This record gives sequence, C-alpha cells and structure tokens, in this order.
Amino acid sequence: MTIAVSFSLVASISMILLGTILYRQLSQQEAINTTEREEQFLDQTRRSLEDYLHNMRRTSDALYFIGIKNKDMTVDDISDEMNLLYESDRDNLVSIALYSADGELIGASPTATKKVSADVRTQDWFIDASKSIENLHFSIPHVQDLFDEAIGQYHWVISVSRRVEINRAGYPQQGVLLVDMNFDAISQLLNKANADSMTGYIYLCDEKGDIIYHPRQKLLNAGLLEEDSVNMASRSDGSYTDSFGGEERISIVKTISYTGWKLISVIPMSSFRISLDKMQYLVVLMLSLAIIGVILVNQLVTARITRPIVKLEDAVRDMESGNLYPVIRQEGPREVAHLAHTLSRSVITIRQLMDDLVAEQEEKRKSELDALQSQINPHFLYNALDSVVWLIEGERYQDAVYTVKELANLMRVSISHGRTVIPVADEIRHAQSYMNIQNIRYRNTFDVEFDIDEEIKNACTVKLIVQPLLENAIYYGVNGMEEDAEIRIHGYKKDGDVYIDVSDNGIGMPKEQVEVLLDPDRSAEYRKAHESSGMRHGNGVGLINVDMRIRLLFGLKYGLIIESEPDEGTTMSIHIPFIEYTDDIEQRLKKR
Amino acid sequence: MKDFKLPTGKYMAIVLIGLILVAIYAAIRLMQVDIPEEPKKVSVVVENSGSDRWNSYFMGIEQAALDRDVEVSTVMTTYFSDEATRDLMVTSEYLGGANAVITKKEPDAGLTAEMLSKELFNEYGGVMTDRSVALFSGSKYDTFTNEVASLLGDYIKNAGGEILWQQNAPCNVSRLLKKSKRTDIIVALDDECLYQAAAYLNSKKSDRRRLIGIGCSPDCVYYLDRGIIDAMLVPDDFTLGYESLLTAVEEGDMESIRPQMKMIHPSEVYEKENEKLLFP
Repeated sequence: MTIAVSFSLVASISMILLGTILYRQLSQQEAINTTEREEQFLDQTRRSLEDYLHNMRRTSDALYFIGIKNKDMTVDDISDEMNLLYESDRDNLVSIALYSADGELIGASPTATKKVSADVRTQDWFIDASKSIENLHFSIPHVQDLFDEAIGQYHWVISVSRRVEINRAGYPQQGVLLVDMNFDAISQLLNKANADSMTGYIYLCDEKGDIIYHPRQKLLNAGLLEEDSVNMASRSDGSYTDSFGGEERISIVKTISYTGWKLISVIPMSSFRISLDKMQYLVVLMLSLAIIGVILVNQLVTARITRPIVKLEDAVRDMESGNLYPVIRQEGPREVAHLAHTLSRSVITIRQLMDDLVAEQEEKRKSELDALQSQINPHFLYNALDSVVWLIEGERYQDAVYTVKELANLMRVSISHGRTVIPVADEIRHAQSYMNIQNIRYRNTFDVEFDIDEEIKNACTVKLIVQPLLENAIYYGVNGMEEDAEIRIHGYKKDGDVYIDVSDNGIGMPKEQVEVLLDPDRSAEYRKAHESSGMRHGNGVGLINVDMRIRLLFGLKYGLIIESEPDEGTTMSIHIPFIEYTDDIEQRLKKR
Repeated sequence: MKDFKLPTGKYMAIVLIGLILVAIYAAIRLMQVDIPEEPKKVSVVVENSGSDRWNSYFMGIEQAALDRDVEVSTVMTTYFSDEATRDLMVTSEYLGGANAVITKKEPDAGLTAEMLSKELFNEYGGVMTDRSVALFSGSKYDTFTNEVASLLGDYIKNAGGEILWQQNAPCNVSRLLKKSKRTDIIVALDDECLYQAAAYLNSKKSDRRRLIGIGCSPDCVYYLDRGIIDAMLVPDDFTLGYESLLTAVEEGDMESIRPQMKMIHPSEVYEKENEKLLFP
C-alpha cells in the first residue's frame, strides 16, 4: 500500500506540476497571441488614421502650393480653390481658412462670418503655426471658435495649421493657413476600432500625453476615470506590461506619422483570464481524471508486486511467533520469488540446525549423566573391597562371603542392564545392600532402619541416588559416634510426589554449610574457608551429583533437599515425581 | 523521519472521493453555458425631459448604463403640474418593473444662491442699492429653484437691492420682459427661462441689461458665447447623471451625491476645462 501511495503521490505531483506549467504556457501563449493580434489590429488602425491625416496634410499642401503661393492676394481670390478642396472632403473637414499674420481673415470655406469676439491670435493653433515656419501643427481637439454659427451649432475640431507666405502685390507677407478637421471623423474611426477590438480598448494622445480620443472620454473629462497617457506618450513603439489603477495590463504603443501622436491599445490581463476560464476547468477535469487513473493503476500494479511480499512478510511473522514450519510461497516477480526461495531454504537450515542442537544437547546430557553415574562406582567399589579385605584378613569368612554377596547384589542393581531409571524397590534394595556392607565395615556402630511405603516401590527413580546420601550420613553424620548412632531411610508419597528421606542423628551442619552444600562453587569456597577448623567436610561431589542427576532427568522442580541442625542430625530428602515404572516409561525417561 | 508513514487505506479513499468531486465540479462548469444576467432596469423621471438642458445628464446616465450593463428608460415629461404627479410617475415606473427610479438630485440651494449673489454683487462692488431684479424660477413645484429664489431674494434685499417681480416657469418670458416693469438685472433659475430671456435681449440690440442664470443647454451656451448671458451657473450634469445611475444600481444613498456647479463667463467659454462642460 505504501508503494502504491508513493507511486500515486509522485505521479500526481508530477502531473499537477506538468498541468500547471502547461496552463501557464497556454496563458502566456494566449497573451502573446492576443498581443500579436492586437498589434496587427492597431497597426491597421494606425494606417487608417495616418491616411486620414495624410489627406488633411494634402489638403493643406494643395491649397498652399497650388493656391496661395501662386496668387496675389490683393487681386486674386482663393475662394474657388478653398471651396473645391472643402467640397471634395467635406465629411472630414469643418472649415478651411487663411489668416494674415495679424489675425485678419483673408478667406474661408465654407463661407462664414467671422465671429466678432474671436481673436485667432490668442488661439493655440495660430500661436503654434506662427512659431515655426513650414511645419504642420496638429492641435488637440477643441471647439472651433472662429465663425458665427447658428444657434446650437458647434464643432469639435482638430486644427491643422501652418505658417504660409502670402503674396500681396509682389510683397511677401506672413499668414497662417488653417484646416479644421472634423473630430467626429477621427472619433468614428477610433470608435469603430474599439468596437472591433475583442479584448481591450484603443485611445489616442499627443506627444505630451494629452488625450485626443478615448472611448470613455467624458468620464476622463469629468475626472471619473484616469488614464496612463502621460507615461505611455513617453514610450517608444512596442508593447509593455505594467499596472495602472490597480489593474495589470498590456499596453501597445504605436506612433502616428506627421503628428507624433501615440495610438495606444490597452489589454487588461483580466480579459485573458476570462477567455481562459473554460480552459481552466478543462485542465482541472483532465488532471483529476488522470490522477484518479494513475492512483487506480498504481493500486493494481503495486498489488501484483506487493502481494507476494505481503505473503512473505506473513511467513516471517509466523516464524517470529515460533512456528518453524511457515508456509512460504515462491511466487511473484523474479526478485521476490528468489527472496522467498532463500527464506524457505533458511527456514529449513534453521530447523535442521535446531534439531541438531537438540540432539547434541541430549547427547551431552546423557554423557553428563553417564559420567556422573560412573563417578560413583570406583568410589564405592574401593570401600567395599577394602571391607572384604579386612574381613578376610580378620578371618571373618562368613561376613566376607556375606559382604561379597551384598556387593554382587549391589553391583547387579548398579548395572541394571544399563538402565538409568529403575523402580524405587530396586534402588532401596541397592541401598540396603550398601548399608549391609557398610555395617560390616563399621562393625555395626550405627543402626539402620528402612521404612519404605509400598505405594512408592514401583515408582521410577534415577539409579544410585540413595547410596551417596547414605554414604554421606555415615562419613559426615554418624561416623565417630560412640553410641546410639542411627540412620533412617523413609520413603513415602506426599502431594503426588515421591520423597525418600535419609536421616541421621549425627553431628549435623551449620546453616551456612547447608546453604552452600549443593552449589559447587560456593561449597568449595566454604570448605577452603573452614579447612583449619578441624571439622570434617566432604567435597560435596556425591550430593551435587545426586541433585544434578535428579534435575537432569525429572526437571528443575525436583532434586535434593537438605535440612540440618548442628548436634541434632541431618535429613536429606530425595524429591522426585511419582511415575509408575514400566519398560516403556523407563525408555521414554531415558531419552529425555 | 524514521517513524514517517505514508497515509494509506481510508486516506487514499478520501483523496479519490475528493478528486472525483473536483472532476464532477469541473465537468459541470465546463458544460455550463453562461447565461447572461438580465440587465437591471432603471427609469429616469425628470421635469421637461425633452429639453436640451438634459443632454449632459443623459450622457452621464447612458455612460454609466453602458459600464454597468443597465437598461435605462426615460419617462417623457413636461413641467410637473404638482409634486403628486411626479410621485405618481415614480410609483408607476416601479410598478412597471423598474429596479430603480432616478429623479434629479438638485445642488445645494444655499450654495447656489450664494454663488449667484456673488456674481450679481461683483458687478456693483457688493452694493445693490436701487438695483432691481426680475427673477424667473423653475416651476411652482420645483422646490430647489423656489428655495434658491427665496435665499437669493434675501441676499439682494440685504445688499440694498430689490426683486421687482418674480415668475415661475413655464411662462412667456419675452412678453413678461416686454410688459413688466423694467429691471436692471434679469436672473433666470431655469434653463428654458434663461434661454428665452437671452433670446429676447438678443432681439433687442439696445437692451443690454445684465442677464445671469442657471443653464446648460446648447441654446444658453450659444448666448453665453455671444455675451448676451453675462454669467451662467453650469451644473456638471454628466457627473451627476453618471453617479446617480451608479448609486441607483448599487442601491446606495442618493443623498451622498453632491452635484457640482461652475460659474462661467463669456470670455471663459473656450477654456479647455469649460469646453468639456459646455460642449459635451
């Protein structure tokens, strides 16, 4: 699942990034395309405007070079030329007029009466023309203030003025030729351009940024709107992206010939966003569907890849919980199958190793048991034979024979056909033989009493475990006692277990000695520490052997229990489980 | 980092459900056809709506209507016979389905009277002693002009002058000027009256009485240009019309609109800023 999520995340992020980049590219391309279209459109508008202005220029040139320059104003009349030119282009012209340098009206078309209050010398077009010779001057739109018009009549015009030379009876004089263009013509031309523009709007300003035409001119006049015309007028031709009035926009600037005017197209950035609105949803839809598809395909693909891995993981978990026979399927991709195969082989190897280890341990345990058992034989045999020797030497032949018989009994039980586990009855018989031999040796200096319950006689026991206790009771208990020395062997069943107590009324042991008696290390330390005290201490090997053999065979719960009080005596109890002796049980116990 | 675990299972399901919802939303939006909202309808009720004096005002309204995609209709009216007539028209427009009805917001009467009185007094150094004034105000029910007339009367009286006679529009201005007592000054607070007074004076070349008033129609501008009208208080009706419609559409407070006016003399007619106001 983690792999599927990782794949899906990586794929989704990549797709989102790709989608975003694509969308940005599309947006930018859209902006570039729109700008290019708008530039072409603006170029057409510029050419139309230049054609119009060129006409005005031609009108002015024609009148000046064909009419005014060839006339003597004192005798000739230029009304015909003026009227002809006016009539040829009356839709675009409001008037044509010629003034002397002092503002006197020399001629005009259409014929009109000069307005009394109008002083042309104070008007901008006249001042501009008077300043520089031969240059054509284009004014910004203004209301014509020259002639007496009918009530309610007024004209917004753009004045094209130039300084001219007037011939008055051979004397050149200065004058000003004025061609007033109908602003409506320019206005209509640009209104149409604005209507055809799909994305933005177009406006016209002079080189100082004074607005000549704007589709929302009246709002500008009223101060309800602002335009970045002064800034744009200072720019050379090209397209610019900037912000004005809190709105990001692209401005395309084109300079109009003859005038220095700037034709500017403004495309608000928001217009791209609107046109890309549908595209946004298309991109989002496609991205969403693609990501859903990627997630589902990833789930399927990764499920195929990871299913064998998950099964392998289950097998490993099974092993961790102790099952050495997990089901390991060798399937899936080659690498995973190889992994499963390797794991399977490892499990088999581990199992083999563990079996070997168990067998080895068993062998070792048996070896130890046999070794412990074999430690007894020479030890005792020496003592027994020694007794027989001194009986013979003492010519006590009957006792010697008896001793040898008992020794034979003892050896028979010891051998027990190589069995380790024997019935309690056999073990007690062995113990009795042993004590009989020892009694002879010690000349009946102690009493021995066997009190064995019948119910335990057929219970299983480890061979030769009572004898070392008896040996210990003799050597370190009652040995040396002058009289009333007694050793009692009591076998009984308690709480389902078998107990065989070997008690003596000998010298007993201090508590600290009892505590270390079954611990080989501490026992050795204790003996070393009390060597100089003159007390008798066995090496404890016999008791430790007995304890270990019981534990090895029956488990740690069982073993030897020692209780002793100095000058009171010692009781050593064998604690073993009650297991009915049969050959089968003997074999099973032997294998443990 | 070691403990980091990628979200799996139910989280993946949530992500998938989220993506499906996004895809459905995008698909719906993609298939949706943008139905243009029906434009709001705004009616304009002004007195004597056919008069040229409303040219700028209607231009302002039309420009705002264009900007806000609003449908505008103007109720054809003459002079209102009473206030109830105007109110009835307004109610009728609402009943006819108009979302808003615009009635002209008048300038501050006090300020208007003050501007007119200053113009009057400037000529006479602030002293109006023995100066008589003929006053044409708007219709009888035109609260604004009647209030201006009243305040202006007080100013003139306080300066030692006198309103010799006063007449509400509509009226025959030339007959009144011909037959009534001659005054030193004619003040017309109504565009139509101002035009008629100017036309009368223009026809009587010898009668060069001082004429001032409130006006904005091309006819009045014509006589201002020719100096027949000595001073004209011109309202910025384009701005007023534009702001009125915007306020009406946005359901704003009409009282927040402050109509502006400018006193223009004949010599100032072709000044750049005045051209824009006088020749829309």
